[in-house]
Formats: sequence, C-alpha cells, structure tokens
Amino acid sequence: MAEKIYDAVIVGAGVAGAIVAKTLTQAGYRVLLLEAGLQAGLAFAEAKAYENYQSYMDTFYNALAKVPNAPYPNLQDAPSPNVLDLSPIQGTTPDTTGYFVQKGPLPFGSDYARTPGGTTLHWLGTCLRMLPNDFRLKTVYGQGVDWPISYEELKPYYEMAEREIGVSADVEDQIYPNTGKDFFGKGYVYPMRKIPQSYLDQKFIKGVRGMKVGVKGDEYELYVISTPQGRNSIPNDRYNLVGPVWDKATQRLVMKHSDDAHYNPVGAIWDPYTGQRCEGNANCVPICPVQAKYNALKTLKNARRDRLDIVTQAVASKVEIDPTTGRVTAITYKKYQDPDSPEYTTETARGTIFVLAAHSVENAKILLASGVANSSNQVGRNLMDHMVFLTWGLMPERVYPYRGPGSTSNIPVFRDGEFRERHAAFIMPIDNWGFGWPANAPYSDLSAAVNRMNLFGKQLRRHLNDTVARQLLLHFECEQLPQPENRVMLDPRYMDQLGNFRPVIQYNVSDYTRAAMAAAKNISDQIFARVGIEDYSEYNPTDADYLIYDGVGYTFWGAGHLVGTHRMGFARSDSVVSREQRTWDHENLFLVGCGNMPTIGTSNPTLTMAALSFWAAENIIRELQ
Amino acid sequence: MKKEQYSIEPFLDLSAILTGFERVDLLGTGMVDIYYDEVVNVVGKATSRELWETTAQIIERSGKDGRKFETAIRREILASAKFGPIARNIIQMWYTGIWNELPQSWRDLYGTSPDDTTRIISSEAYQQGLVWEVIEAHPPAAKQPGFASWSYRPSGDKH
Amino acid sequence: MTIIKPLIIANRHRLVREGRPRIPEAARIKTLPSLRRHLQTAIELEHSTIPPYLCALYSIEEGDNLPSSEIIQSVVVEEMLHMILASNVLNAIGGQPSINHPRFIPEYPTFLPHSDKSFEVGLQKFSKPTIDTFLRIELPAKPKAPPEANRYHTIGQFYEAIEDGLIRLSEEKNIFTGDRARQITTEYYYGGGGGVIPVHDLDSALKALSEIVGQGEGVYHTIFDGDHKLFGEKIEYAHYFRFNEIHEERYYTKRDTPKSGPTGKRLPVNWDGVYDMRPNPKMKDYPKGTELRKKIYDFNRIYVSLLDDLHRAFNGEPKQLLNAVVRMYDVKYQAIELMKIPVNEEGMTAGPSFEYVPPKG
Ligand SMILES: Cc1cc2nc3c(=O)[nH]c(=O)nc-3n(C[C@H](O)[C@H](O)[C@H](O)COP(=O)(O)OP(=O)(O)OC[C@H]3O[C@@H](n4cnc5c(N)ncnc54)[C@H](O)[C@@H]3O)c2cc1C
Ligand code: SF4
Repeated sequence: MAEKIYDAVIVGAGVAGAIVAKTLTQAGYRVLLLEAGLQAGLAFAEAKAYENYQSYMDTFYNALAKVPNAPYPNLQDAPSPNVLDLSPIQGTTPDTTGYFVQKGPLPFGSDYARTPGGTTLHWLGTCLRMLPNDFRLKTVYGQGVDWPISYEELKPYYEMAEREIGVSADVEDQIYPNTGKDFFGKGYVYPMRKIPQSYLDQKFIKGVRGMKVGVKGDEYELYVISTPQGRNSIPNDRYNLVGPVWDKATQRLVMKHSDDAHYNPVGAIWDPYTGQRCEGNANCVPICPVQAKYNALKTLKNARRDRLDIVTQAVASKVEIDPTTGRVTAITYKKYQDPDSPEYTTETARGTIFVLAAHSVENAKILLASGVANSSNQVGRNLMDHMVFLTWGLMPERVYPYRGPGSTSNIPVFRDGEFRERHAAFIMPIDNWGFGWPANAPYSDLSAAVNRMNLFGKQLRRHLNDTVARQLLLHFECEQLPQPENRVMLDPRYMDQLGNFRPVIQYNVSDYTRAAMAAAKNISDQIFARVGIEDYSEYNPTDADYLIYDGVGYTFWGAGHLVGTHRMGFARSDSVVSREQRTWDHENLFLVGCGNMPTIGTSNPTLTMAALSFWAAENIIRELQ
Repeated sequence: MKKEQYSIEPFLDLSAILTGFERVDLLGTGMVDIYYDEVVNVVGKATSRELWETTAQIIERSGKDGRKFETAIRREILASAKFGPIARNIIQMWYTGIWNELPQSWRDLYGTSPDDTTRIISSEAYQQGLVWEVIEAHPPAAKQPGFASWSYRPSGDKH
Repeated sequence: MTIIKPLIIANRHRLVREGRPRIPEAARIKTLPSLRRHLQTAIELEHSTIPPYLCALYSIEEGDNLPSSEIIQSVVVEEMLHMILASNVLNAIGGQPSINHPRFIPEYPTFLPHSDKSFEVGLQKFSKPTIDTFLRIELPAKPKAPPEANRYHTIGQFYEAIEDGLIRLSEEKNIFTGDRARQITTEYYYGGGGGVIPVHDLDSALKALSEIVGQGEGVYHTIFDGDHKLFGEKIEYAHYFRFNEIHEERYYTKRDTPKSGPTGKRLPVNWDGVYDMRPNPKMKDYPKGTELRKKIYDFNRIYVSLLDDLHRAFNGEPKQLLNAVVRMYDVKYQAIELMKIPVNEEGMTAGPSFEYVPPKG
C-alpha cells in the first residue's frame, strides 16, 4: 500500500484532516489518511464502534481525575499532553514531567488528544464565528497582525463548517459588538435551533438585566446571549442548505439552496438514533456518552470510504523534499503494532498533494523535524491560547448547576471595542458545571462537609443541597496576541520512545493579556455585587499558571485552543502558509488546523479552523484538477 | 440479599443514617452487597464485625430514628478513633463511589490492607454516586436527564 | 382478496394494501363520535403495551442483553410515536385525546382494550414467556379475519375498521375540522424509526394510520405464509419480527421469509441477566407507611405526571412533549431502582406498578 500514489496524503484524523478527506473523496479523489492513534478508535461497523467507545466510557468512569484526556488511551508511541502534569515551573529548569517539556516561564496549560477523531472527542463544542475586526486587528487597533483573508471572504465557508459540525443556534440571538447588519447574510439560519439555555443562565440573566459595568471610566451595558454549539438540537425547518459540492464552472465549493433540504441531526457513529438530541449528560468534556456533540469521527464516517485508505498507528515523522524542485515527494511515518513497545517499521506515503493536519503543536514538530517550510523562521512560533480566567461564587438562591452542556450562554460585550488598543478582548461564557473546574467540586464540598464540618445524614444532605446547588462559575476567555517567543521547539535530549521529538515549549503571557484579566476581575466584582453572589474565587502561587499584574495575583487555565504555530500571512518572509493554506516554500504541501490562524480573537477556534479547512480543500481540488 | 442478614442489616441501617437516604433508596442502587464487601475487605472481618455489632446495639437501645439514634451514632461511631474514619469513608463511598485511603494514623493503629487505596470502586459505583442526587443533578455521563432538562428547575418529585 | 405488496421505503419495511378495506356492514364505524371514540381507544391501546414493554426492558441488568434491549427500546419508542400519530388523527377530526384520566392505565394483567380477550398482558420481567406474549400482541391478522369494530383478534383489524370509517365518513362531508395548532409536528420526535405525520386531511390521516400498522404487526396475513423478501441489513422490520428475533435468538437475513423465520447470525440472549421482578407489582403488596410502598407510589406519581405532560401536549401545547421526554428518563431510573430492591427470600425484586395515583394536594 505504501507505494501506491494518492491524489492526497493527509496526516491526522482530527476535524481538520477529516474535513479535507471527506471533501476530496466526495470530489472524486483518492486519499490516504495517516493517523497516529489506535486502529480500534477508527471502527465504524456498529458493534465495533460501540464497543470501542464503551471502552472509553469505562476508562472515564474509573478515572479518579476526570480530566479531558482521562477516557482516551495514552500511547507511549504517540503520547498526548495531560493537564495533570502541570505545575509551576521552578527557575530555569524545564519541567519534564509530562509529554511537553515546559521551559516556561509559565507552563502551557492546554492539551490535545492523539486518538482517531482527535481533540474533538473531548472539546466542549462552542462554535462562535470570529468577528470582522478580529481579521484586521493591526489595522483597526494597532495590535497583532491582520489576516490575509477577510470575514466576508470566509463567510460562505463558515456556513459549510456550521453544517458539517451541526451547529445549534438562533441567528436572532446572535448579537455581537461592531458587526454590522449583514454578519450572517440574508435569510441564513443555523441547521438546528438554539440549545435551550440553562436554568442557571436564566437566573443569572435576571440578575444582570439592564446592568452597566464600568471599566476604566467607560461604561458598558451587559447583555447575555445563547451560545452556538456543535451539539444536536431541534432541526430548524427553515434551514435549506446542502453541500458543499464542487462547482466546476466557478471552481469553488458551494452550498446549494434546496427547498426540500432537511437537516437531520447526525447521531452516534454506532447508531443514528442515539444522540439525535443533546441528552444533557453534562459531560461534553471529556466525553459525550451519546455523541450528541460533534466529533470528527462523524465527518470521517461520511467520507467516500471507497476512495479513502486509512492507516492507523502511523506516526508521521518526516516530510521528504525533492531538493531540486522543492516539492514534497513523500511522508515518512513510523508504524507501530503495540503502542507500549518501542518497535516500529518505517514506511513512506506518496501522493500528489500533502496535507499536515496533526494539530498545531504536532504540525510544527513535523515541520521542524524535517527542516521544511521554515524559510520565514516562523514555524513553531506565535503559539497562542485563550487565557481562561475564572471567578466563582454562591448565588443567593439555588440555580442547580452540574446539568446540561458545559456552557449555554455568554456575554459578548467585551469581544470587540476600542479597549483593544490597550488590553485584550475577552468573551464571558457562563458555565453550567459549578466549581468543578477550579475547585474540584462537588468532591471538595463533600470532603469538607464530612471531614471538617463533621456533618452526616440529613444534615449533610441539606448542607450540600443548599451550597453546591448555588454554585456559579463565570468564565473569561482572554485573547493572546502572537508573540514569536511563545514557541514550540525541538531538542534532541527530549525524545519519545519511537524516536520522535517531544515538544519543548517556551511560553509567557504579555501585559496586554494580563491587563484583560484585571479588567475581567473588576467586571466580575461588579456583577457579584449586583447579583449578590458570595465570592469564593481564590488564586494561589501554587497554581500552575499563576501570574502577577499590577501587584495582584491571578490564575488562568488553558482553554485547549492551540493556535498559531504555522501562521498564514501576506508574505513568505513572516508567515508559513499563504492565504491558500499552502506553504510558501513547497507548492504541494498544505497545512490545515488552528496553527494557520494569525490571531485567535475571542471565538473558540475550531469553527473558524473548520471553515479554513474547507477553504484549503477547495484550493487543493483546484490544484488537483 | 445474598449476604448473611445479620451483617448486611446493620450495614444498611448504618449507611442509611450516615448518608441521610432511606434504606430502599440504598437498595435501589444495587450497591449494598458490593459496598459491604468493600468495607469488610479493607478494614478486615474483625473490625467490621465490631462495627456492625456496635450499630446493632445502638439500634436496639435507641431505635432507628430520632435524635437519640443520631446522637448515639455520632458519639459511639463517628467520634470513635476506630470507627470514625470508616464511617466517614462509608458516607463518601455512597456519595461518590470512591474508596478513600484511610488516614495514616488509623492505618498505623489498626493495620493496612493492600486494597486500602484511593480509587473508584467500579464504573457502576461511580454511576450510582448519591452526591449528584443530593444536589438535584445526575452523575456526569450517567443517568442522562434528556433534552432541555437543564433549562427547567429540577422536578423535585422525589423529595 | 385484497392485494398486498411489500414496500421498502427508506429502509423501512411497509406492507401496503391496494384498494380500500372491505368491512362487513355490521362492523363498520358509522358516526363521527364513534370514530373519535375508536381513536381514543387506539391511543389507549397503543399506550397499554408500553408498561409491559418497559417492565421487560428495565428488568434487564445494565449492560446485559444489549441486542434485546435495543430491540425492545426501539419498539417502545415507536409505540409512543403511535400514540402521537393516533392523537394527531383524533385532533384532526375535532376530537380531544384524553391521556390522564384515572382509567387510562389498564390494571395489569389485562386484556388489550377492545380485544377478543384471547390472552392477557401483564407486567413481567424479560423472559421467554414474556416475549411470547409480546409476539401475540404484535401478531399479524390471520387469513380471512375481517376487520371488526368491537372485538378484534388483532390490532391490525381494529385499525382497518378505523381506516374504513375515516374514508366513509369523509366521503359524506369534511371531517378534518380540527385546529392545526393541536398537531404534533416533526421536531419533537426523535430517537427511533418513522416520523411524526401532522394530519389535516384524509390522505395524511391514512398515512399516519399506515405508519402505525406498518410498524406494528404488519396488518396483513400474507406476511405469515408469504415469501416476500422483507429482511436484510439496516431494514427496520415490523415489531412482530423484531420480537421474533429475540424469541428465536437469531437475526433475520436477506434471504429469509416470514415462513422461514430467522436463519441468520445468533442473537445472544442471556435469559438470566435479568432482575427477578415479581410479576404484576402493586402498591398494595406492601403495607402503608413502608418505605417501599412510598417508593412505588413515587414512581407512579412520576408516571402519571408523564401522562399529564402528554395530555397537555396532545391538547394544544405540543411543546410539553419536551417535558414528557425528560419525565420519561425519570420513569426509567426510578423503575430500575425498584427492580433492584429485593422483596423476598427467593431474591425476587420489587418493580414499577404503573397505577394511577391522583396529584398531591
Ligand atoms: C478541553 C478542550 C475543550 C475544547 N473546547 C472547544 C470548544 O468549545 N470550541 C472550539 O472551537 N474548540 C475547542 N477546543 C479545541 C478543539 O478541540 C481543537 O481546536 C480541535 O479539535 C483541533 O482539531 P485538529 O483536527 O486540528 O486537531 P486534533 O483534533 O487534535 O487532531 C489531530 C489528529 O492528528 C493525529 N496526529 C497527531 N500527530 C500525528 C502524527 N505525527 N502522525 C499522524 N497522526 C498524528 C492525532 O492523533 C489526531 O487524530 C477544545 C479543546 C480542549 C482540549
Ligand atoms: S450535555 Fe451531554 S449529551 Fe449533551 S453534548 Fe454534553 S455530554 Fe453530550
């Protein structure tokens, strides 16, 4: 099989790779997909798919720490980062506890999953588009860089992504700052109606209705909207798009309008009737038991399987270049049988076009290890994430958290505005799962009640019901700007057991973003005072990502939004890929994934990245014609 | 109930008073036998038998409800150096499906068992955790409540 | 003889009859009120099978007998669809479904409403005899069994009489005068085969009825001795055949006919992976004031609130179906708890009794 020549060879069976594979195979091309994770994870036959997924569920149930990667196999031959490995970095000694070699000064707090389906297996599924000004941050606010693609240009591809992922939202609700009237385009509706907002949201919304907050002398009126999500809801009968399909005449991917188009929620890969609606398992991260939440396996399942070969347990390690033409000739990968054993065989994959879709850090690693695509010296640089800053407290009445999807509403007010000249923008999701994330509730509450308060029986029940059921978690995702020093590097001293590099990460947070955390805390204080929330937020120097700004300490958490390690740009001198998503240095090498994004904005990145993956697929088809 | 009634009964009664749940509710989880075995296995036959006997005596003296019973449980079990840590573990086991390693001071005095480690007892144990019902939710990833349930106040029909 | 042809639409097997039903004069439904009464009975009939199916389903120990669970579950979901469809027809002809009256739930064991009383249906754990009963419930009509309006040997005959009534009465005048806002529309049904059909004329009414019978026991006798190729992967068979797969512990294959029975892969059934629920549980089995009595009462309260939700959904508030689904899950978890509570020395367990209890206060 190795010597067969494919139209395209894709590395990575996450959402980015799956979208390219599906689009190319449906357009008639033959594709080889290389995937580092286990074969079992790619089973599509009903019984096998179910069995494998149940094995994830079982691992999850039995895991004491239910972190994002808890359900999925951690492979010695293709390791994944784990948030359990995080701790403050001492001095200049890198922390080598986990898969990442953390040079700091702050540890990089996000993870990803190297398993078929990729990180969407444990993503939350929030699917907001980026705002027009996010694409021209430099021009408008003098910060970061502009994108070589505008919001208007990307808009049709957002529609493709929203159909592919299956996004639930009502257009009428989606009001953001500075977007103008035509943000969605006339008549557009999402495939499914909005996910109902939680009871907690409704109480919170009552509490802040009409509220104005002051930030540095400016006043902002707060409003709360429902959040678009990649999880199944009631289909919108006004939705009438199908596709995308390749349109020969215009040489583009297009969505077709059709009056009898009818959106069918895509259920679990083992049973189409399971997961047709979000069933409220409240466990989207780390695993949705019914697959009501989108994951990339759904896309792969609908690729043209007769034109798609998938090789699993195949860790891509090198991109081979013809030195005379600069074209990629092959991708070398290490094929292992047993994920715990260091044994492997070396194989090559050949094709016309090559696509790396192994996610930001792994893409950068492969490029750096191969010494390719890096004439700009930007590969691995400009690593970004959202700084998740949390505040938490007890509402004056019971709001019954720990129910429903992780977050169903957000405050979009600070996603854009003139303040971006001074500090980062942020979005404010209202979370549904109590103090779980920052304080390991309700376990911590139980332990305190039993072991310290000496409660038992009915009294214990009353106490927990009265406190835990009032927990509210506010969430601020702060934008980070591209900085060349925040980077993924390689160091031959740090290898995994297959002889592939472990990512060495150097990382810090600038004052531009720290100032946003200070503003966020200030806003949170005002909200808590208005609603009567008893503040329990606490930030300690022992927290992994603890930082000081203006003499005050803040803790942030990783968002899982790894962006920017091989950014696109206007010129080959300061970017890795062009607006086509093609590397400047090698005409048949395309990159997809969040690594291409020049800035991160305040949207969780996957929807935008998925739109860009359709965009890349279109360029690849044009190339293959 | 396959176990000797003699031991299971006091274990069930003790569990009910400690957790604040009715006996039928505990039986309804299907976990009674498993948790009973867990305790006996970790703390040993002799100590567990002592605990059941103490419980049975308390019940004989003060009945199964009311303040008198609660006070006796607090004084003779929760406040006991030997039984207190076990009782607190029993509560947390019912609430979360987790067995917590007993405090070192307890282990020094009453012995260690290789099974005395902090762990989830089983998938089923996790899914039957009662803390979720106490806060009127459900164990994440189990007992899914259905589309839109989170947008309503919990029904409270059970309370 | 009516002419029957098998039809496979979008992977769903349907048996459709050509021409209209032939009902002997005496068995005809002749007035609109009578037609409405029959449709109310249809709703009750569809409902009456749900508690027995649920008992069997929830008596299966978690994680065991997955194929059988899946089959019973799929049938239950479709029985609920049938209730919705029958309500839509009733609403379309200006009727008012009544779902939450005290006698809506039969007292188990019971004969099926309006049946010929040839067998009783009870609340039983999953077992071979239970599946036997389910097969009888979903039994296709015997040859030459004409539809009858009052004593039906099979559910199919009963529906054929309704169909005939709809056709005849709408030939006289427009009977589809119901408020369209009372129709349940597609968005609220999911998780199973088939789909909701909003009813506003004869055509949609007949479609709704054929969805019910096509999914149910496949009304027509030809399937018993016919040699149609009805089976195969990804095709949803009528309930009778699905239960028959459990009964025979074998799947149907593409080559099978109703006559051949299933000859495919083994369908593993573990008749012991089941809670030993004492048959036909009742609240009065346990003294007043006991915890268990209270727990069964609580179960019944939730079940009756579920019926309340359905009642509202079928009477002008379709959105209440969302609530009903949420309540349905509650019913499930409470039933399973009861299944685990031992009630005697032999290790038999309690179970859900599905009895009407009035709202509190
Ligand atoms: C906890 C958490 C929550 C999140 N929530 C959201 C959210 O709400 N909204 C949002 O937009 N985003 C969210 N994200 C981010 C989102 O999950 C990612 O952006 C997205 O999954 C990335 O997709 P990808 O296809 O680029 O990479 P991945 O999904 O990581 O897929 C990469 C694939 O490549 C394979 N691979 C890796 N290395 C190799 C190699 N060398 N050879 C072969 N194969 C390889 C991997 O096994 C994997 O299958 C979240 C992330 C986390 C961690
Ligand atoms: S809330 Fe539950 S069902 Fe819904 S997406 Fe999350 S895990 Fe899945």
